[in-house]
Amino acid sequence: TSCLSQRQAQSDEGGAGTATGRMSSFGLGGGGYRSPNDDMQLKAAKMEVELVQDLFNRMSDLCFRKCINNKFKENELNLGEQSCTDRCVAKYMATQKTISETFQEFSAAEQQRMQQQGMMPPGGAQ
Amino acid sequence: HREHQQRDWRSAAAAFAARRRPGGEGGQRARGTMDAATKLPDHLRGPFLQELEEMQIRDQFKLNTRLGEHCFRDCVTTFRSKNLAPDEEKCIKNCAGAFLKMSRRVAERFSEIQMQEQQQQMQQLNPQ
Repeated sequence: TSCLSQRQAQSDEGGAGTATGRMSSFGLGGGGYRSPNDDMQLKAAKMEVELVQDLFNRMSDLCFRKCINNKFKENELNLGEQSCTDRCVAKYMATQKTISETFQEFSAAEQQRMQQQGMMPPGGAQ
Repeated sequence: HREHQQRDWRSAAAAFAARRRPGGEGGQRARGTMDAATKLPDHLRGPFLQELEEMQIRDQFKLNTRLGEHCFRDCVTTFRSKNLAPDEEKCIKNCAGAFLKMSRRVAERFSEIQMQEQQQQMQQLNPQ
């Protein structure tokens, strides 16, 4: 975690400075020209982060609803809540993984089916 | 800086996504979950980190409202008065504390699992 904080601190302290410095060393002005490919890559990275944030938030909400139930008499998590949280995270990630795999298989099968239908005359077998 | 430390564990996942994978394989098709972010070319990392910070701030605000909703749902049960009863106040404080502690724990487990999956992927790509 200290690695992460270091990296974030770097990005922040020199945030604007580093980026501009790097960009100017490439001969670009601040916020200067970026190729469409660069834009796409940036967007992809952004969307990935959004995905992970969304996953994380939903997981937190769900595990909170399922595991933390002490009517908030204390401010600490007791041992049961801690292990429940750990298992909840593991199961949620496993669920997500299974869904991704199923989705990919489904998409691949769909694509195949549509290709076959494209080549076969209408009313073809199944 | 204090804000950053507070955000650190909370957005461990997002920061993890921005970390570069050691010994990145160039020229291989992105097949992992976090490839778009970890395999970003050098000249894009600066702008990406700026955008990342913006997203983290937005996420922090969203956490605020999510917490409000959770704790309101769990703690505020009657509407006999306009003001929060003292036990409702205490409940809300504990609710927020418990949620944030749980959230930190979730972040820890989450990044552990992410790293495991990354290692598995790397082993798949470089079987030795």
